[in-house]
Amino acid sequence: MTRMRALALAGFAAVVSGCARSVQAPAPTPADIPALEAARQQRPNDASVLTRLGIAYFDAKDYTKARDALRATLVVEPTSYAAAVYLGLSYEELGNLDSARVSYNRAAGMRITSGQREELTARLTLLTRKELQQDARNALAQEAVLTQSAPVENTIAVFPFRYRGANEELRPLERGLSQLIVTDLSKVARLRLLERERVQALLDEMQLTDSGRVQSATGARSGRMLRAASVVQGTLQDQPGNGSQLRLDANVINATNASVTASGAATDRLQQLFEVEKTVVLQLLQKMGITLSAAERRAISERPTADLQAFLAYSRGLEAEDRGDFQAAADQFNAAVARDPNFRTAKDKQAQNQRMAAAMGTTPAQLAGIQGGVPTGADRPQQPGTPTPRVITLRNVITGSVPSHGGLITGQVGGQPPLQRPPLPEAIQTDDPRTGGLTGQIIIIITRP
Amino acid sequence: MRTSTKAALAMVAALAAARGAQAQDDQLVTATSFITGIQGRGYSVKDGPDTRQFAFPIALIMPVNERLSVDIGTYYASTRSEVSGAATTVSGLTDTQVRGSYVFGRDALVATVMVNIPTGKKQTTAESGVLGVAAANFLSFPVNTYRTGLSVTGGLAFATEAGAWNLGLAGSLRMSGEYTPFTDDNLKYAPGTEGRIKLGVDRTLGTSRLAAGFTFSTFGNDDFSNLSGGGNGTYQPGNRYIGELSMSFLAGNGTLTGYMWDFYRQKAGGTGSANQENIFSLGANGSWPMGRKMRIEPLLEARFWSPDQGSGRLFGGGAALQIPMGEKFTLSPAARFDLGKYEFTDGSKHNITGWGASLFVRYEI
Repeated sequence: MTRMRALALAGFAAVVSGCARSVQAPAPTPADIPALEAARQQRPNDASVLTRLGIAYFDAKDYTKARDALRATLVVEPTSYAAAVYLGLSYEELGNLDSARVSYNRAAGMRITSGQREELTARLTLLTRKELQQDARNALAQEAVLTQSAPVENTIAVFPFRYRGANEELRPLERGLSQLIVTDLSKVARLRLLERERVQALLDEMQLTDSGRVQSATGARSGRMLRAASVVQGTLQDQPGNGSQLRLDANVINATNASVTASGAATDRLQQLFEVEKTVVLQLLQKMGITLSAAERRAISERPTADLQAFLAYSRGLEAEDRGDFQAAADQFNAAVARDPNFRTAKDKQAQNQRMAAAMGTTPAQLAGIQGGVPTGADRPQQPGTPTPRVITLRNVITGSVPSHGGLITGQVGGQPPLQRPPLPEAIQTDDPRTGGLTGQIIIIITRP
Repeated sequence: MRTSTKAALAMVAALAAARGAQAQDDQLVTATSFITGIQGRGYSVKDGPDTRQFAFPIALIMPVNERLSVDIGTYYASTRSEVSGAATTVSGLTDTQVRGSYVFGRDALVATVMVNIPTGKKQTTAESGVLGVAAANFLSFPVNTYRTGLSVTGGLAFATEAGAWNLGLAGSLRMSGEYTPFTDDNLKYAPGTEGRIKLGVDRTLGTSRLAAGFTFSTFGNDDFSNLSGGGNGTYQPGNRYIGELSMSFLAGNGTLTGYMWDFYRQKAGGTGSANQENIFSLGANGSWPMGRKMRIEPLLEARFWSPDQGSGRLFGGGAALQIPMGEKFTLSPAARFDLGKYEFTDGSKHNITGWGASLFVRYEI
């Protein structure tokens, strides 16, 4: 009985010691910067100090110094999730969105929880929006160069339609119809459609007036900045003399010379909106000289939903998304899905906007998983397994002085990033066999330990 | 009895959980892992030997507690060498090595003991030619020795920080027992004691990491007796010197490492053999994520061999993948290809082609 109790106690002790958490300090603040800089002077290879310093610089909005400290952290400790996340955030603030994406992807490649992975996915979705906005700004800044560049063949940008009518409830269809036409034209194999969001970002950056959106010259100018060969513009208006009917007009503008290369128009009741849109799309394709295959024609004839109210809610969601109100957008997409549970695009958009809304409310500390504090390394005597800057050095000299089969095999499998692996091959690290078998030099062929 | 078994099982589970909680990539004491797989490597020298080896590594790495860790490793290997149409194959286990490391203080001092247990296949004198090729440092076969004698190596490693530098110093002594290498010969071989010192330094330079190392090994005299024909003698292994330098950079969302190392062995004494050699290697490898979990690790390397007589050079390239399969498994396939020249002792030059492929599986317990 005593023996059994001893076993149980030993097991308990093992659990307690093994599960001991590393010592955490409160997340650093800008006030800690002088002390952390002094600590870095003393321990320049201490990943904990470098991470804390990087976070403090970030909070002080000194993003360049934050970037440098966090990059240094990742050299010392390549698997630091907090450093990779804060580095991504620093790059975002510095406007280097490509590097931010690389940093987030690096963090996503680490051993993290499913919750952290979801947060990173949402952050990357938000980053995509920022990239579209940055692309639009760059396009405007480089307009002179871009307008001289040849467009990408068969690339089409669809502008939001302009609603000319009295019923303000239908105004969201400006975006909904645009998205619908993008979806339908993208079913044609030879056409390459630019994402609606990319086009919208440029128009937002250009701050076009409503009328500007339908002028062919403006369309051509925007198309050249997007390197699109053609631009689709159009209007939706109440039919004069018959208020219950709507007329949809659309033109395909050649982005190089602003000429109209194809036109389409159809009129019907609001309830027949999808038929009207399909008619116009087929007219445009025919006038563009595109012969559709049976499969393409069938794909274009598919409707995202049969419920006009669901589509209106979806269109309101696009409006909200474009103005950055992701929670409102998620609510609208949710309303669309509530009316038509088979409205798949709305369902996807709902999930995406919900993620982005959550990401907007996530603090950097939460994203980096340090809301409970940052590991200090101060608990090292109790946790010799936790890395210090010396671990790599120690591992290196131990491998060189007392090599073993087990150690060498381990080094070949994933456990250590190349940064920490000795480059020497096994033969050099192990022992001292006599050599020369290939050239016949061998005198005594006895392998010795 | 049943209750005590349950208690023991609970303790094992608790230990496993405790070890799992320690798992971190950068730890000196890692999580309990079992590793196996297959490694293949072959070299074909035009008008010379054609040698290939398949090895099946088996390793268990286990932190016993927060300070003590143990690794156990062995291989099953099959080595085949063919010269002028005559082929010899040697297959069997290698020696098993058990190593324990104990960490004192805050990663400041590590004591290590390694025991080589002679579980390897004993060879015949006719097979020694194959094993001589496999033992070539220049070619780096996965298994270069099947069986030696019982030996114990004790070592101490120390690391400290000096300004921006991390300094590491390690020393070890290996004491080996007498053994009989061959099944068909009464030769007895008693290796001398080996002493080894390694100095390692590393530091960060901006966003790069510089590491350098120097290893010196010296040996006592080996004594052999009962050589066929009744001879006794002494062999004095030459000292060995290894210099290493590597520089790692963050490259995109991965790392890129450039490295070079040089291995120099002084001429041995006592037997008249001229087995001095120098091997210089220069290479670069990297590691980048592919998708959400997988990593690709390409490698380029050049290696130059300068023995007393003859020479060799190899230029190789390859890539490895690190593929986590869930939380516990990691799969690591790798392949490489080498091309080069070999100069025989008679001055004739021959093309050499080499290949390597491996697939490792790591299971974290």
